[in-house]
Amino acid sequence: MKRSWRFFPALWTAKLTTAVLRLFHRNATHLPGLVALKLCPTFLGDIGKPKTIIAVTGTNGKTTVCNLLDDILPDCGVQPLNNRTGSNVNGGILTTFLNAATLTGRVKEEMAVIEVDERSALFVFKYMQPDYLIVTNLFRDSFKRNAHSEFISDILNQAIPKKTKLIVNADDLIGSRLAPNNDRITFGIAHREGDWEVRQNIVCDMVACPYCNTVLEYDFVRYNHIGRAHCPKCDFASPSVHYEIIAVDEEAAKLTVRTPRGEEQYRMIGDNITDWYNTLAAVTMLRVLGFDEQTIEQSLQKQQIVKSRFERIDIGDKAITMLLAKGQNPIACSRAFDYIRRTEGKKAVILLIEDYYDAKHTSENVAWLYDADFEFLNDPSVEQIVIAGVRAADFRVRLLLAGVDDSRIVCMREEVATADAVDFERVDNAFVLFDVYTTMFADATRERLENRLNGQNEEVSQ
Amino acid sequence: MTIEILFPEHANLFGDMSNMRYLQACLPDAEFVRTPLTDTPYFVNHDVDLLYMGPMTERIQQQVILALMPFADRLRELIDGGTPMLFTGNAMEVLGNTITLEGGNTIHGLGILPLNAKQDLFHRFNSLILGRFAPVQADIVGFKSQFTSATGDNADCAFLKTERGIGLNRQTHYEGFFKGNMIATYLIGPILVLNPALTRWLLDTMGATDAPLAFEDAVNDAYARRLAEFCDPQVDVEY
Ligand SMILES: [Zn+2]
Repeated sequence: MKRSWRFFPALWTAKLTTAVLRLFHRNATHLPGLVALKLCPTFLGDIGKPKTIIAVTGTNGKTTVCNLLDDILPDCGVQPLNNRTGSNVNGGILTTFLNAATLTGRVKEEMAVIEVDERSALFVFKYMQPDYLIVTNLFRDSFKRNAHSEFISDILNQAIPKKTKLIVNADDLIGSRLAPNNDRITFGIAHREGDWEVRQNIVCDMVACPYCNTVLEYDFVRYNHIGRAHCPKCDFASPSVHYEIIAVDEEAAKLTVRTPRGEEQYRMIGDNITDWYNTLAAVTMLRVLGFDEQTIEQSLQKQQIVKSRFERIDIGDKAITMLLAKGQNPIACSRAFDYIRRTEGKKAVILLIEDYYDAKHTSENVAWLYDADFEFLNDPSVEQIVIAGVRAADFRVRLLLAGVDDSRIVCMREEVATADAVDFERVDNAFVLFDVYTTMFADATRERLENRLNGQNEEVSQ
Repeated sequence: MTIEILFPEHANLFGDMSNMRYLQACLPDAEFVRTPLTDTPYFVNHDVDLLYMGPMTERIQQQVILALMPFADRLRELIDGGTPMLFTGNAMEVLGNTITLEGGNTIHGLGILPLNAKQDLFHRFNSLILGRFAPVQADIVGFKSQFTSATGDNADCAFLKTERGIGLNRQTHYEGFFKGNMIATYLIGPILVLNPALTRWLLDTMGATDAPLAFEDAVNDAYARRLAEFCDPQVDVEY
């Protein structure tokens, strides 16, 4: 391999940077990679890489899919290199390879599982050509950073190397059409009872046929543009599915997957359809890599959704449910709202999803609230919606436009005080929706809710 | 009362369709005509009380220009006749003279507004905007999030004179166009929800002087809070 003469000085300087940062207990998951890049612009191309590289991208679910692969692969006898503890943008990915490399620039791992932010793909794939690319889905995301899904598709289409085999969601007519000339394996979930005939979401970014502009006919809609569709005028339609969940046994927590090698059964992790898509994406990848059904299934038995994303705490006959919703990501919030309305019992919903950094420095653009389906919270089972933060008045207006009665809305400035506003006389389950940057408020709110419920239980037992 | 929404299956980015949902809440009896890109617009053969088009992707924008080109004269006639219109985000560019695409090619818009836009897909511009809308002497609050900047002769027909945030480009405080009763602006998002005075003006101009603003107290409260933030020099305008 011919490397830039800058490579070794960059490698050693960046490794020294890591050592110094660690000595002073500073975060060393991003900066050392950027140092390497500064000293050697082709660093990511020059550094040694595992034989097989799996990249994972998409709007929602990429972290979960990476975590599943990272946890299951060791049971298949492979210790993958991954960027789990770092970031999924240039600096984090560079640092991942930097840390894995020896002083001679080699890596010992045979395989890498790398989460890649969609917008970082142009740089990353130029120097790290993945053998496989899993695309979980593509949706509208932060307007500020990602503009719209077509913009992100265009970036990925420019970035995806010709040799990369795609693992794509057949039920996503945006993601599944990426890099049309590349080989691909598709996964999907067959029509289920409860799928919609017409969409209920505000946003659908796949409305018209990409060939003839005719409005598409959806065979079924699961959420937003996730579903199956065809063009009534030309032969455009959802692709065929290679790995398809054809049955879900919720009681036994089993997913039946039709594969090219016959039907297989896997453990169902989580009770949300997005959890099943994520599991299926990971299973498809592992089967494509040639790992056997039994090993994957045995490993799946041990897996669970990371508590930082979903956690239900039962105290007496009441519950607290922590849900990561991701602010400024209208689809992720809509999924959370839909999950809440489908959950049994009377509910309170605490919204801690305003942008933490915008609140500190500027005034958050609230446009995204109007792409998120707050209408799902206009449900008789949602007794209370408690909002905190500087944007509470905006959330209130949004909820009113969704038809929520003002008497069900509580606005407050201080985040943790929301716990005191929940009326457990009226509700069985208090949902706390939070963003990755507001986990500190979420944790404190949960603690306060737990204390209240534990206190109540003590009173009852006395 | 008839409100035409042009191409809502495409021109619906950035939560802008909320403007129509809010108008629907203010005007529960109004008829909303939603014209898909494959159909002839309703305004071609009918009068409308409001014509609306929201932001779209750069690719769709080119198709929209082609679809509307045969009706540019009719649009001009309606604007001159005082039909209320609202074009938000890059829908404004459709009415302009040219759009220079990333890569250098230039396409022609409908030629109704003296506006020339230039795409820069590698730099997204995000900003708060605080500006004065002359007909109601009110401060308008809003947001920009875009790939383009533009030049244009709008000093005597701007939608806003900005107090914070830029106009069509960094060299000007004049934002958007206000011609007859047509507003074209780079502002995106729920601008009618965010600006009760603007919505009041629009309803009055449409002839719905009796229609109350939906959720008026809540909307006024949110407006007052946002205005205070936007006026605060500690609050960053661009981010
Ligand atoms: Zn077609």
